[in-house]
Amino acid sequence: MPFNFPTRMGNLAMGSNALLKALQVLETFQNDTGALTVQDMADQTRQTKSSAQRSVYTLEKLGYLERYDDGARYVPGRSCLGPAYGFLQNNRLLEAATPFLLDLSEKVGMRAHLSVLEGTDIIYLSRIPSQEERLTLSPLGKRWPAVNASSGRAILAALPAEEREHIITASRLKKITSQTLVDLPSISEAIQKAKADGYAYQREEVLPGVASVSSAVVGTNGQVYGAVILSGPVARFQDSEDRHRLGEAVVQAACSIGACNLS
Amino acid sequence: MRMVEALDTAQRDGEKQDPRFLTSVARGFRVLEALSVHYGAMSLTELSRKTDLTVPTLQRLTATLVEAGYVEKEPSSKRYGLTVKTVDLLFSYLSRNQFAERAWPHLVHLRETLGVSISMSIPLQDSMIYVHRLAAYAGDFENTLPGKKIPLCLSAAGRCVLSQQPRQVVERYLAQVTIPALTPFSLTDPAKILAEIDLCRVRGYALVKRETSPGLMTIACPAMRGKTAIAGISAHVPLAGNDEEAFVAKVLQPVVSVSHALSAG
Repeated sequence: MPFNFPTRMGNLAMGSNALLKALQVLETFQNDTGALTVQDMADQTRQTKSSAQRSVYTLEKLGYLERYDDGARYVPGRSCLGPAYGFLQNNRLLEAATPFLLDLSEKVGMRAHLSVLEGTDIIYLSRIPSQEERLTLSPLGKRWPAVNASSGRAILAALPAEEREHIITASRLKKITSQTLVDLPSISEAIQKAKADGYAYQREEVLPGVASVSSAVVGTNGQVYGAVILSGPVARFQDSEDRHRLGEAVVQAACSIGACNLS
Repeated sequence: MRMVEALDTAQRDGEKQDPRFLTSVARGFRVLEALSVHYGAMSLTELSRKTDLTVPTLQRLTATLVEAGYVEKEPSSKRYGLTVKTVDLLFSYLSRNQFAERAWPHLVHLRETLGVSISMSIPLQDSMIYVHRLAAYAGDFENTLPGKKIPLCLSAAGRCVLSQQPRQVVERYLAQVTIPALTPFSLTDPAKILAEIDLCRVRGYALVKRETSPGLMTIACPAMRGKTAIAGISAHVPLAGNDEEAFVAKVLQPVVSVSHALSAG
């Protein structure tokens, strides 16, 4: 559950409260798309304004927050780019997948991505430049609910039943578009279908006009590592034969990645 | 001259005496940053060496970072590594950054037309940090990852940024900054780096060979906002099989065009 701020200071006799509070202040930007005032950050983290102010002051000095144009509000700063590099350069899955994703993108003329499960969300890890989608920033770090994203459904279908049920139960079902499935029977059915077909499919459930197919990356040890996604305009997926061909392509890429040494 | 103020390490040390500055927060991020530049997980002893913090202090900070979900401890080796949650930080920056968003399609186009690796980096304290990296070919995993830092005075883009500052300011900066050699070819003599920056000021671009990576040649141009360089647009090629003159002739004009398109005021 990424978007809550449990009051767990009590367990933290060992740790640093000031650091935890500052990290919580920084996390408020994941709930929101705009710039925030100190008061906004205080409200969302249930800290006093003066406490949030102290965090903000230090975070700005360290480059993790920057002033927005109007000077009264803040946005995440450029220091936020650094830690992800450390994670990504040590990520064997992404390293193994990158050539296959580039190859797949080229072969089908649509952008291929990689995502992993994190709590009840999937999070995109790849950043493949493609001719097709010049106008959108590559979604490295983008999160979607696992129950609605095709990659989430592919991962859920590949997981043991108990784990799958646990994640589905913990998921917050909410409409993202008018097409988002929010009832458990339909979601379970979509996951069952993914299991039967070998790839998962969603249409316009997270972005209007966009559909995707996805297949889970399962290692030689049986562990589910993530999923390969092909996403593009709905029209490309309309015809069931076309869709099946794209589905087969993600299955093949996911199998090739799964055969690599991932741990 | 806000950037150069930020470069002033003496001033940054002064912040330590600032009563409003939360030392434990700064130290916590120092731990994250040490893990960010390290290949593989790190033990407390290694972290201690890299951060100049004691092991008890590090135990306290890593407990908080684990609690907050940014760091995990490998049960078998007791070493610490970063988690996928660090990617949230990157996304929260990129998803709001209009400049980064505006730059992306230009860079995609540049990579396609030139067939070489392209990047955009911005100044962060004594470094340039990559915002976008578009590798030319598939085998190049590390070169696709944003967030890597290169010392300001060695990076081609960094020299572009410095070249837009008054010469005396740059001279003073080079006199007090630590210049780390990334390769045996990295310039470490401030006078030689200053000469490169002077050349960049005259030519409008910087060319760096083998100084940041032993087999690499990079050309960079600054993207400006008013009189300040806010970013560097770079093209990278392997030295093997690429002649300097031909490289400049081929990529300079397209890189200049993109840096102009991304400049304002």
